[in-house]
Amino acid sequence: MIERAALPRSKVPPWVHIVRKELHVYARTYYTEVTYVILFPTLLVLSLRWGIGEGKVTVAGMEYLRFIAPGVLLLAAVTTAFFNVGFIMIFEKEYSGAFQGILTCPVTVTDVVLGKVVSGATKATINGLAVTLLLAVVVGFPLQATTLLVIPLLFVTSLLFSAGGLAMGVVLRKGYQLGSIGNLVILPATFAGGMFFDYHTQLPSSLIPIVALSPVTMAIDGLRSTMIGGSGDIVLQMVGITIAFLLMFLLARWTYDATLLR
Amino acid sequence: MEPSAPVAIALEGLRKCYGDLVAVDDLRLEVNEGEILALLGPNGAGKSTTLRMLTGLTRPSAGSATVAGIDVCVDAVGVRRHLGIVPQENTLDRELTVRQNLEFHGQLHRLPTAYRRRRIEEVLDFIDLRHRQHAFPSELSGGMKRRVTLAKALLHEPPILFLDEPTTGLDPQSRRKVWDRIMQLRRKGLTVLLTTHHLDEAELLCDRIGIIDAGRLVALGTPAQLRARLPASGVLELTWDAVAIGPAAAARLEADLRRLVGEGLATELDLRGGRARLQTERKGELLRAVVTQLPDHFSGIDLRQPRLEDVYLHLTGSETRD
Repeated sequence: MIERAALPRSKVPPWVHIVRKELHVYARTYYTEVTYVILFPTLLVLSLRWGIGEGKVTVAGMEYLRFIAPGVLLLAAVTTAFFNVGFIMIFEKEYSGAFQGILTCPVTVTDVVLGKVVSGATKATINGLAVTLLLAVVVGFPLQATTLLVIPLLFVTSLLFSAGGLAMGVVLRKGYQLGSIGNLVILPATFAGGMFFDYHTQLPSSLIPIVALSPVTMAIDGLRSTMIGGSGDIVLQMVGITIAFLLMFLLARWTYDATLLR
Repeated sequence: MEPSAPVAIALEGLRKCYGDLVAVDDLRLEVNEGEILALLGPNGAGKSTTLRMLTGLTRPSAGSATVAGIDVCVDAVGVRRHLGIVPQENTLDRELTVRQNLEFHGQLHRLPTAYRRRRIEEVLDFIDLRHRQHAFPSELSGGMKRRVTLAKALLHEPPILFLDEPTTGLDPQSRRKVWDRIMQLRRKGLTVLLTTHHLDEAELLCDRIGIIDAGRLVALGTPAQLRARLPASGVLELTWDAVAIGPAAAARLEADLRRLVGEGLATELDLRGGRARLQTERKGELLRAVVTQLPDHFSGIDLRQPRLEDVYLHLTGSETRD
């Protein structure tokens, strides 16, 4: 048997380097990415303001544009998380060959999945913070210490959607397929989760427990509490979203294992 | 290579099925330390699938394999720590420069910073691309990308190297450069498992050659041993312009060549549009018969010793595989 020359090994696990590499590439295109990400929320909020007028409509005791701001923010962040990780995965796997390059290294499935998911969530959170600042200016909610809770909420929800994007990116071979699936999941989940209306009072009572269990609903509720005040236990919401993320992470890991290492 | 060198790679009844398709079937093979062994075979023969199994990227359906003494089914990550892998396709990250690609690869191998930086300098010199270290892959030629992929594979000083069709798609100059690097590695005592369908490449670089067809190992030996397996001491190659002589004359010519085989002057005939290859034990008689009995349609007549290509075609057939 070959005696391998003993090399000291770096203590930094490979997934950290995958995150660093992804963020290095992201930093090069940051301004372009952020421009794209803030475009949709800006247009949406401004259109609604011009359409319904400022302060004329209230929901759950809040001015309507303020009420929808957390959902708009969440939509921007999870869209980044899902599509960024999914598209990169499809591109590297099917077209550029870079993913094959990673597979030639002594990295575990967990390393790769964790690296991709954490990097996707980090990018989504940074983009989300840009949207938060935009909304603070356009909608006019106060920036205070509790607003910082937006960061962990956005991050953990983005982890969930990054893992979903990765699982889809592993299975799918074309970018447009990812678009279809994303639109089938993300938009209905955010709309049903109370982005535009107060689900506590406006949904049939039989649907409320189902909607309330959705991690997207928990995230919107949590963001609403931290940004403009509202009901809900933010710790419980974080725990719920984290459990959903862990399940999605296991699914992504299993999908990777079953699909790419056949 | 030492005749009794320890085994670096061992395959024991390795098999891979995708549904009803058997991609690799009962592969048994040993590669000794310091040896360069080529797996030669047509497209779809199972060469790349074999390499994927040996790197732990595809699970065998049956059988076992060890690389550097490590079972690939038990510790695939441990196996890859001992391996340098040059896959068939370009695996460079197009978002990173040459140097950043090497840096990232070294980080994934968990190489300590000082060692990693020293090795990057060394491999850049080895592939002669220090002057392009800040270029992105899109700014490199195909041959340069191949050399960078080789540099990545060598960064962590692996004792074993897997090269999956390392020169496919390269121009002759680039192929020669990659060959030069492989020969340098051979002198350093690396064990190399190489897949190729370039016979000249296999003959030039390798100690032994395994010919694989339809997932099975059909022959294994040194180039000389393989040539000795051909049931003929000579090969007569004939070429003609099939269009110029017309279809009727071409058909008659092919019938005449088949007749020569029927008369026992040749043992095997391989006919491909305007070209015939006859294997024979009766070189003089065959040549005389061709010159005196057949119409003079030939643009080339070449009587020669058997080459590896003849053995390969004898064992795998001449039909195109897709």
